[in-house]
Amino acid sequence: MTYPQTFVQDIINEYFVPVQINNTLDENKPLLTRFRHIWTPDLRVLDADAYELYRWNGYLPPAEFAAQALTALGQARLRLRQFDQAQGHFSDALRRFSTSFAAPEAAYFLAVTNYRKSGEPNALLHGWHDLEKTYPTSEWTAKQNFD
Amino acid sequence: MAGTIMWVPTLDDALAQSKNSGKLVLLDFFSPT
Repeated sequence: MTYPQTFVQDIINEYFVPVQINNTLDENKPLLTRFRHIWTPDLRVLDADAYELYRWNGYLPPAEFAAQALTALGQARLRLRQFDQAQGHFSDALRRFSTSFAAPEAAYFLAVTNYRKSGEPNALLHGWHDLEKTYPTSEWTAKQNFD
Repeated sequence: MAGTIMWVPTLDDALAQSKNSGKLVLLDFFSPT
């Protein structure tokens, strides 16, 4: 997969150490097995110990890819309990790509991040209320409904 | 560098750079077309 758009390149260069693995080369077979790779595009976000923090499959057009990458960064930083960084990435995804496929996921987990950081239930409830208002048909709106 | 993604050559290199920089690794499995 190539990334000709500057705004996509900027996100990758600023926030990631990027590495591409050609899945047709014999020399890469051990990595394909190690990561249970099955289909391209196949993108993983790893920590420095190669622990997988997030993944997605399939082609996305540039703006969707950028939104997905920022949401993936937010998810990864949240799982590392780096709440300030997670808030920044989710907020960036929502501000720059509010109509993207990934935006509802970013909104859902921004609320989770705010709650985990503050311990304040209203941080979660207000965020999820906004999610429901902004993205009423999203799967993430369905997932926040615990009635 | 503008207009270029700074791909590192191997996963081991990426993990080492991640450890030093604090950045996360983006591992992109691809099939050339």
